Amino acid sequence: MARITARDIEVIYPVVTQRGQSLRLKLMHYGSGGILAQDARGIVNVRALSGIDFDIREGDRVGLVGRNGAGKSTLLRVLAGIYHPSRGELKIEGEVSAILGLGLGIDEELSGHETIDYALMMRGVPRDVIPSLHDEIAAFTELEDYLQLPVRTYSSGMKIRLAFGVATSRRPDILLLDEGIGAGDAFFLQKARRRAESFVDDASILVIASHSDDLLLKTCNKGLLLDRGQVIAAGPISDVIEMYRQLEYGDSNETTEAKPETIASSATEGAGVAAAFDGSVLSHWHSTAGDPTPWIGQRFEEPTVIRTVTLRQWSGRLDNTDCVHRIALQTSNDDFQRDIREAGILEVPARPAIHTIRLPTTNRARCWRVAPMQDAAMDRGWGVTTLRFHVEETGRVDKIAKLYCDHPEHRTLSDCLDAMEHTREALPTLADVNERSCLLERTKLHIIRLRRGHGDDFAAFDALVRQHLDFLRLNLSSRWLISILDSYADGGSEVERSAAILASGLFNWEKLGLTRRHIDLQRLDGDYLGPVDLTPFRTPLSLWDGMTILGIPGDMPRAFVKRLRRALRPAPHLAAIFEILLERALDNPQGTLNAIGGRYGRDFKAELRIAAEDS
Amino acid sequence: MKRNLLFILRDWASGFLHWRYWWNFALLDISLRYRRSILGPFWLTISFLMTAAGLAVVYSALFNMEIRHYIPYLVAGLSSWGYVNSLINEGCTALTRQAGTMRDQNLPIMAHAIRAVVSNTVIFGHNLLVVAATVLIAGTPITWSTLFALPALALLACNGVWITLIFGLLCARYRDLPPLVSVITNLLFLITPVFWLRDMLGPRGFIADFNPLYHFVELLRAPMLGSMPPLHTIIIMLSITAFGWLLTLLIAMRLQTRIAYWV
Repeated sequence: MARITARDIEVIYPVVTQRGQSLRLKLMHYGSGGILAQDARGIVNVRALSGIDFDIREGDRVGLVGRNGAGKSTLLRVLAGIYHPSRGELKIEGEVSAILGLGLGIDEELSGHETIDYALMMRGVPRDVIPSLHDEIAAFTELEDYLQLPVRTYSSGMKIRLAFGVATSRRPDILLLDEGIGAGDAFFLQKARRRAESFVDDASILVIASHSDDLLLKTCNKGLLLDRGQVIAAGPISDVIEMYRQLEYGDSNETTEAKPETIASSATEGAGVAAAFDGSVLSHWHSTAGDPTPWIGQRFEEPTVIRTVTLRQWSGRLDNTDCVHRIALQTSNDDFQRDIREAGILEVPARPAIHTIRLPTTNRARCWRVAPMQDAAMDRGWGVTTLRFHVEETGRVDKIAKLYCDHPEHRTLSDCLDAMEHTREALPTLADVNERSCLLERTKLHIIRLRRGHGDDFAAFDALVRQHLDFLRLNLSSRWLISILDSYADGGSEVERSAAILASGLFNWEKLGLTRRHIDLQRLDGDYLGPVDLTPFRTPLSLWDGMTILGIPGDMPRAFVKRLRRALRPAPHLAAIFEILLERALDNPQGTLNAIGGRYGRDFKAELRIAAEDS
Repeated sequence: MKRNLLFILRDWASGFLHWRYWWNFALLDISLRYRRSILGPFWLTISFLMTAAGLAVVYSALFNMEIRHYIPYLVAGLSSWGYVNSLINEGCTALTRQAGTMRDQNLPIMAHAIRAVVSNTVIFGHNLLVVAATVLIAGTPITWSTLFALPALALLACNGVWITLIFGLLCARYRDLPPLVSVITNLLFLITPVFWLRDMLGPRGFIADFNPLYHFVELLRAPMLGSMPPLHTIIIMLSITAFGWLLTLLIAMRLQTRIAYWV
């Protein structure tokens, strides 16, 4: 009988540091989902989880979804009993087994065989049972003779096999898996999944955190979407993943209606974080009373995270249990009310109260750049509000391109571009969307269209890339750069195609169905390189740092890089992109590429809210 | 408050019950330290033997003592001191060393503490061979009191566990503590009668008596040399044990739920 009940769990994570201040800045820089607060003694408190409520019953296979730093791993550690909630109640019935890291907590000098034995001892397995379990685990891992080597020589994939074998050998009631499971190769994953499924038949619980939609969809039946330490959605796994995609990329292939019952609300008053889901387009509406200033309201059709509602002179309330069709306003500022009334859009009763207002939708003139609009509104003497809706930066860019692509009226690329330009003209406050960011967005738009198979315009894309190569490669995130390579791999000339496959494949091996140990580059391109065994690269790949494997070993031999460069020489623009990717990979102390890089990546990270004075 | 108390007591109880973990891993710690070396942990014994021999020659001359009486005293004292010293200093790092395990496995903190103490006790066992040999060769009388060494060792180990817990928790939080503790124990070594006799202090014997580590050492050394430790030493040690565990309980209630964030 397995069961997990969580009620209003909050985890405050004290990070002790000599100079809390500098760590705080660091965390801000590298991006963490927690809400940070610093107390007087130089301890930075990260609110890693708050208000977590759920019930998991036997037979549930739950996938935890959310971006890096959303609190997935913390939640798993709480369930494993390692972290203790600072508030709330957690009841766990059943024996828990967890794989939270690659290590089993045992010295890596030991051989695989010894590690299995000691790991079993650590779990309190009696001596006479160990041999039989040992054989079973050894067979499951399929590591065979490698088991005689010290674990320190293993790749991440091999370690995960070992850890998984040990953790599942005793059929725990509750199995917790952190993202590392994605490190296995395809065959092993299948095997692991079967094994995991067999547990659930034994009336147990599986909780897994992963960025692999594929793995989650195949393994889980339920999902929890975490964002900044809160559960923002719970329900069937496919719905939750869909919401996550929309949240992250604004990427909804078909317009699925978000089901209200799957939405957990976190209504916000004053300041905080709110999540909104609705069924129609994110639309900006603006005042029609002569003043072209685009104004405050938006309706969200795609799940959109709205950050930091800072309200000074009036307080607003996002009531997203009712799908943000309604925004309730409370205001005592007469000017503001008059302006609103004159704008003929809202009806705000004269006296302060919480009022429900239906926001009208407009089809045209969508605008996603909300913050500058607010500032512009301030400049124009509206002066009544500092309401800031920061629509998630990374999601935003994709969203623009995506919406233009998908709008029924915009069938061709030039239509899309026209519409985009038109929007820019129509909304003067967008003027600060300068040429350059427009260029970036246009490139992304191109890429999305090409990747979607609307690829009628490769030549224009090619010209764009060649013309603005330096700007693009310095300002696009690694993911987009890899997408550029991918686009060339599909549509470029013969030479470009080979070079692009080679370069992009190196940064995204999983996509090519390769395991880490033996990458036969000949499969990528027979003309350039022979089989290359990458085993000697000891730096671990960053295996759970992104949706796919984005990373190359930092200690890649010079000679190897040299050969790659030679191979890329015929396509200098691709070589340039490759170089910058490589540079970012080598820059990183872990020798991995960051999934989010470039300008927008940084913006997004810088958006982290610090609630220093709050708690 | 009550919730914390229950949590700690449960952790302690289940720590003892994880004997398979701490026993096997304590032995593993020792064997890993000397992996691929032929003499293994006996290197410790040899180094101990050398130190003792060197000190014995010099100090017996300095103190003008007969070497036959001095050597057993020195060997027993040094080995006891070494044991107590390692309990304290390794206690400081016992939890931080297991950081990886603590972040990934839900094991009782107590189990980690016992693991460190067992490991140190086994190493002490190797040195015990030297003590036994010395005592036999020097012809120190072996009496019924010698048997008291066993409960004395058990009492020291019992103290070792709370010392490890308390220092382990505090050192995980305050990283300046381990070097500070090491400095203090080095200082205490000089004022603890290990290679000199308490009686040499004459009227200033209280210096030794007020030094708790003297009682730790004396408790174990006296039975090894065939006599009972003084009554007041036994009483002081028992009260240190009781007080220490109580203090540990209080500190653990405050700190233990947060240890996983600190290591």
